[in-house]
Amino acid sequence: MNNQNNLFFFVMYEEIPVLAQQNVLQQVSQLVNDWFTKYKVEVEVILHVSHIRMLVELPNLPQTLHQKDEIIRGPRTHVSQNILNKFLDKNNCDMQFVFEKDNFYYAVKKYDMLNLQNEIANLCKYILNGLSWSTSMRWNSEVYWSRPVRCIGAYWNDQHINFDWYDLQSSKFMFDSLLTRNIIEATSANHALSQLLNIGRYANHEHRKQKLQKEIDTILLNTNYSLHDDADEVINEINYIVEAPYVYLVKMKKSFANLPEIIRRTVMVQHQQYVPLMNKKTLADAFIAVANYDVNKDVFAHQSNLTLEARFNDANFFWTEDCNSSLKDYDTILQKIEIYKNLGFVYDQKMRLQKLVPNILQDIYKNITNHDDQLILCEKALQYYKIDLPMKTVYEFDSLEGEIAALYAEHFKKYEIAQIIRNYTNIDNFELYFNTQQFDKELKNKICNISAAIGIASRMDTLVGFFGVGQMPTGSSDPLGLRRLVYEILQLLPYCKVSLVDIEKNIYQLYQEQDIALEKSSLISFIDQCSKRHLENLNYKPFVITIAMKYAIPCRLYVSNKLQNILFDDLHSSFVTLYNRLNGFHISHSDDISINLQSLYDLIFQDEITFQNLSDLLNESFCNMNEKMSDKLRLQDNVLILQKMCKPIHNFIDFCFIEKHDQKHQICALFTKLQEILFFYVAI
Amino acid sequence: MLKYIVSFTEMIDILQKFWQKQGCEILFPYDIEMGAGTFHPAVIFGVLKQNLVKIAMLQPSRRPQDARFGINPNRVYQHHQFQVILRPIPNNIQQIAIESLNAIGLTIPDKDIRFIEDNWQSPSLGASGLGWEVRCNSMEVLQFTYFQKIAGKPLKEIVVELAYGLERIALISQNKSHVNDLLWSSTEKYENIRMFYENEWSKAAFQGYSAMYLQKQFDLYEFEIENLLKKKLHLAAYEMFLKLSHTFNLIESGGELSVQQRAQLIKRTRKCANLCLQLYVEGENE
Repeated sequence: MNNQNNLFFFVMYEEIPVLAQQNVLQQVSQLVNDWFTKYKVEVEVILHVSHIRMLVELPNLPQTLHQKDEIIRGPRTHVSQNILNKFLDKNNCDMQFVFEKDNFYYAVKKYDMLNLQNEIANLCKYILNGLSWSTSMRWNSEVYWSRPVRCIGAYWNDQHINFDWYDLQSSKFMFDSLLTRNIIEATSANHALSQLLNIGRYANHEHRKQKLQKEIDTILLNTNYSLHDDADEVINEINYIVEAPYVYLVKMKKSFANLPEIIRRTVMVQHQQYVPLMNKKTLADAFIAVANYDVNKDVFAHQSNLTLEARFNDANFFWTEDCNSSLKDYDTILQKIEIYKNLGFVYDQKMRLQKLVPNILQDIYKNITNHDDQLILCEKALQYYKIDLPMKTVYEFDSLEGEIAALYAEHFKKYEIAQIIRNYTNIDNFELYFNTQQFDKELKNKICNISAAIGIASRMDTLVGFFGVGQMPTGSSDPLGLRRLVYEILQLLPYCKVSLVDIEKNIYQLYQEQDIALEKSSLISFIDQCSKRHLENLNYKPFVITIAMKYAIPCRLYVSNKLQNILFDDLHSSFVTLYNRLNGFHISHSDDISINLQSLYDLIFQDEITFQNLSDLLNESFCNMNEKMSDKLRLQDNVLILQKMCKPIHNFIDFCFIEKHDQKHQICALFTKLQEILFFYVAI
Repeated sequence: MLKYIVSFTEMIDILQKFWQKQGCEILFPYDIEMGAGTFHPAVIFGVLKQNLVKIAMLQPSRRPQDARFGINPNRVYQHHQFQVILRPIPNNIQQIAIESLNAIGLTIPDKDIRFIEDNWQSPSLGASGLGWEVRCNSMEVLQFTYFQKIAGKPLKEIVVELAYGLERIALISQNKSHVNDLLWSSTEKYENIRMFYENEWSKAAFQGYSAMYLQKQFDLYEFEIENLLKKKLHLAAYEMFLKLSHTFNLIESGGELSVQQRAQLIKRTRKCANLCLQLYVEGENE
């Protein structure tokens, strides 16, 4: 009988923000268990939450609580009785439970058995006081709430518990909503859930999601529409802001098909929380809107349509104006937009890049005699540099910064340039594009090289400039996001065979042409720190990072520069050269060590890679290498070295296959990481 | 039977009467350009006062960036806000806000009224608060804010601020598709009364003003604010700040600002607001 007690506790807020809903179960569980810790009782917490209410159930609670005796050290034994009495009074202890040890008094503090029912009010208040919100405000001298609490209540085994919390008194009932205020009387969470369900309210997050999904599926079943990839995100978001979801299919009166699809989707998903629908591969002239009541469907559809139309109209207004402006118009404005105080204008930066990026490309293509078409494409791509800054569409859609310039290029059918812009503005895009097999290999290489060159050069230019005018980040503050810039450079470097030192040198020179004197040691040290952090973020073991920094720092980003050599076509020779150089050997032919790179690539590109065949391939390669090395060098500890090299690679393979779920992503991640580890072990 | 349609001006009248019944003093709109009713001196200085505040007023609000030559269904250069400020905050304020919407034709459960988390802030006033944008059938119609900070400093006692977007509310209550089609009164349409201004202002906002002149004007207002503050004329300085803030909005609508330049101008604007408001607070404390 002792553990058959049930506590039901409810709270209604004017609103529980999304983030708070996401965290509240963890928070309440933590608070409840903290409260019960001293009684050595573990408690199960069942919680249902919506945007206006929180229902907490603690089942199987004991009837009584007993706190274990506590031994408290008192004063020294030579003190007067008076002092000892004061100690006992203060700690609420009895003289009969005092004993002496090592010249000190000790008192055993005995706790009475507590009836949990009498403590429920304290527990509820403890939970209410302890909830912390990411964005909150002080509502009185002690409490921070996310939004005002308007109704609280608790039942212990169906019996209402009376208590006060600031200006609120525990209520016997809750409401359907704080706005309509129809009374719901429930003495347990399940009772409340079922009563709410009877009036179409889903207080349980999962039930609500199922209802939403079911209604959406019904709509899809009865139409030819399908959901876009980002639908899940918006459906999840909607689930946090409704309790009584009613799902409606709304047909648009005006489609605004001239607007790029991504703009239309952004309006629907980010601005309006509508679910975009697809008709085959294009955005349909319909969407799903979710109301929080059973509203008048026609009026709701008409007005949702109207709202969306106004938003599209707005986007169209700016987009049309942006498309009617020429590159020359944008250049005129870029000449007036300052990068930063004393750093000149964006147009100046564009001019610097037009000198710098072709040099980088010359380095990339140093073994290819004719690469004029690449240089021409690069020059054209740079004409679009930062045109999104003065574009009006960006004001409304700041999340599309960068993308808007690509859309502009696409509008004029400059598809290659659009891809280059997407790549250099967003590294994730770059990596996605790089790893996709569906494009022409030659064109893809060309686009990737140009994207990486512009991406690195523009970020380096910004870094050099800000350090030049003394705007370096401090330990706790990086308002200009310069660390992020370095991380992005580090991400891009493997794709671009350039020396960062050379780029930097050139940029210094270009700035000096503008009479901007720059001091560079702090920038060097900053990049080094970021490189270290970058390696840490990639989960390298500390000793690997120590070695990487030791070898890499003097020539900065040496690791990444070498890595990109390995990553591209020279794995054999780089591997051998590095291995030999670091071990003082003098063998330079790649045939001496045969890691069959081509086989590895083949497996990857044919999507046939598995743990087993990759592992076999590596084993075979290392055995082969071991034999050849032993044979040629007669190095006694060669076998040990090679075994040492194999071990972390195998460990890594295990790690990678467990961590990543997407097959392609997994393989690419594995491959990249594998090569990095190969390098490091060679470097060691 | 045809349903009677409440016109735009009647709606303002209903709101004024509603809030009058709630004990609010109805004030007049301020006669200087401003981007939102929050900038009305009675609101700003009312918030800063440390006693009871109950005021409501209509305030035409100019936002050059929202200019659309009258072609957008619900966005205009100059729209109308109805502003309510209350302290102490009634416990059922959320309900009262809904009742006020019901009074002008936005009724639950006929219409889907939703509170969407939107913590308001005004960088130029250094003001912020927790709150929502209240949507009716997906359209934002009311900003509901528990005002907690101004001039970068927390308020001792929070204030609730309700800002009604009257054009959008009228679009829903009159069930119209475009702001031009709204009934301004029983005899006139919104278009006839307002669109003449919209066209001209839109042209001016995007192509009319000289960027150099606006920048100079900004500098002059900034200078004048400092001058007036030295003479402890905080209200006059605040009026100059309103002009400065509107000038900043005009510069911004010209579209020739970089992120950093914009941040710099906002910083200067905020500094001016802070100086005006701090002087007022010091005066209050004395």
